[in-house]
Amino acid sequence: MSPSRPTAVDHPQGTAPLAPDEELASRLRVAVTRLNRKLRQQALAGLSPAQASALASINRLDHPTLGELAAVEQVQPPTVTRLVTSLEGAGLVVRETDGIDRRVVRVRITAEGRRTLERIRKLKNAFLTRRLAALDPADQALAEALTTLLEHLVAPE
Amino acid sequence: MLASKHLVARVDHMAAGEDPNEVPVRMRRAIGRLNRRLRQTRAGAGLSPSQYEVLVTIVGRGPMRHADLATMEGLNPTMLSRIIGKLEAAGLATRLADSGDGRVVHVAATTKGRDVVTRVRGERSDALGVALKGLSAAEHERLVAALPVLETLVDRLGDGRP
Repeated sequence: MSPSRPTAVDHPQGTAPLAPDEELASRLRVAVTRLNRKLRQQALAGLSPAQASALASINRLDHPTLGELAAVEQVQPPTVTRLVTSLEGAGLVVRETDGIDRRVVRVRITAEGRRTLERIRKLKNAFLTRRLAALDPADQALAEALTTLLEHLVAPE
Repeated sequence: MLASKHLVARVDHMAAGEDPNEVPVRMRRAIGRLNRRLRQTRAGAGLSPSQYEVLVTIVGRGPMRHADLATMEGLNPTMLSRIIGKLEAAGLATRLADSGDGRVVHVAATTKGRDVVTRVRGERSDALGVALKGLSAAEHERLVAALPVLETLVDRLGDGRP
């Protein structure tokens, strides 16, 4: 296994130094992506990353069609079918025929699926709570300020 | 009818038993949303998020044993094989037999695979750069001051990736 290298390897070698704003954007991207990945690894609740992501999307989109789910999850139709079949097998979602267009299949989260999502959220919250509690008070204040800025960046969804 | 349906969805999304004012809850939600936004910029590559994640890992770490990669990605070996098959077909990764033990398979990124990751990262940074332009000068300054805290937090997590 190769040894860990500093995060700076993210930047292609031999390119000119980034302008301050580009560097800030790049650093923020690295931090956000890595934290998201770590949170996901902490809280899969027995699902694969793709299953956990699909389950969250099914809940958020409020019974999407298979096509809508494939688009938001950025997977091909056979993959979304396989994902939904596995989630259905675990009792986390059900497939339903659309009330208006009988050819359209929609996916709905079950009560068990919702409980699983809640468990995932709790695990992530607990993990972040522990990590933030380990910071000194000044850094905790900065973390809160940063959270407010991130909220501003993503609003409105 | 439609409005009430949306209200229900909204309430569901708020999630039972968590305080939306707590910093960890707010941070989790903001990170999740931002990451979803970033994911959408990855249009050009034509990879699913799972495929892209695996590619990022082997680009960052260099050649890895198939079994170690499966553990790191939280995937079962069958699912990982399928993903590697896709990456290989697209010319982004290769499978290599271990020189000592023929049963052990290593997975490595190709030059084309590394180029894809560099391009996607550039797209995502650009998208964030655009979003950052929406911040006021004071907010921008606060971001510069506070970002190291997030970086320290992430560094301490040791996600096994460079």
